[in-house]
Amino acid sequence: MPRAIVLNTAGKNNVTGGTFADTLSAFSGDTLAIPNLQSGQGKIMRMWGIDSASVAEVALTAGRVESVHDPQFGVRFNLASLAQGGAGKPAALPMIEPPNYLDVFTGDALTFSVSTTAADNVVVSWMTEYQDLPGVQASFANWESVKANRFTEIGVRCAPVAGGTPGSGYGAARAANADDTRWTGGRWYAIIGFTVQTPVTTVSFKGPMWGNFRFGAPAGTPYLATDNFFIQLQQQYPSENLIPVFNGFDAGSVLLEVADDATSTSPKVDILAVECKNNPASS
Amino acid sequence: MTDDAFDTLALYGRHIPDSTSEKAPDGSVTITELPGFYQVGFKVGDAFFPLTTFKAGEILAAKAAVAEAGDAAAASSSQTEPSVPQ
Repeated sequence: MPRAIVLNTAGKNNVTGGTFADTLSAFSGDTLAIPNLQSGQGKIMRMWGIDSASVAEVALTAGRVESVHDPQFGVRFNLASLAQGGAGKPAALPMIEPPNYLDVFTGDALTFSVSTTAADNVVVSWMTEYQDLPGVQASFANWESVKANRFTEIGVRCAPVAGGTPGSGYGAARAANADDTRWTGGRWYAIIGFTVQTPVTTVSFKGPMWGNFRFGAPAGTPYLATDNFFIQLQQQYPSENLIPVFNGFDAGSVLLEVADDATSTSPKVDILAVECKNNPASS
Repeated sequence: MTDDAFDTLALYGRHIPDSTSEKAPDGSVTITELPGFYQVGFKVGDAFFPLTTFKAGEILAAKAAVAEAGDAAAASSSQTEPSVPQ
């Protein structure tokens, strides 16, 4: 069963403002639609979002009753965007956290409506697990397997920059070896997390070893203990493999991108990875 | 504990720039300026004490818009004002 973990992001720059007056659009390369799944079902494992300058409320609706029951306002989430130091500071706030999740179904599409203040920027990201996505064999491991294959650990700098129009898209993709080339070809790297210098809404990783789909994590102030983000995510879903793995030969194909509610933020990501002599995703 | 009463205490803003570098296949490096951060604080003597720091994108855009509006107003007034006799 081809399995995938997929990150998507939607947003809007310079919103109109008003009561659920704005609808978010998927960023380039991302989608609000649920793909055609062999099992017919997936689940949103995490969701986070931010408004750049005001408190906001997001209403998530979907077509299927067993996903989101109410078609009018669906599941409503507050964004306390003025907390943690005031506007512009949090960068990302929790919306769905494990062990909670949201089921999604083949052929459905998510809709995010937002109540907020005119001229703000709004960004929402979510990570969905598909147990059976045709054409994908994503390389993820569990912590026990990573520990069993562990040789050493490394932290590698990569400095992607968020988009110039916040709420409209990711910034330019930056290869994992663009700023720091210390990955070793032939060794396997389990990305257990990362750290940033500046809070940002979303850090995305993408590469052919993960089906060319994004996965990633929030890096707002409530989440700044991201050094073992993927270990924690896997431990919250003990039966799932959620720690991304790649071979050092492929470091140039591991692309990082950043989304934020502010212009051209440069969080300066330090990727934390356990280096393994054997592939922990296959054992 | 005593309170300090400042007769004059002005707010100051400081831009802390950031940059990113791109290495081309030929080895040349291009450095691009980024908005970076903006600090707002006060001074005691020459010492600056930041009250808050935030991402600078919005305030730089606002400053640029104000400067552009000022330039446009200046250009407009210079076009409409009668010339001064020499």
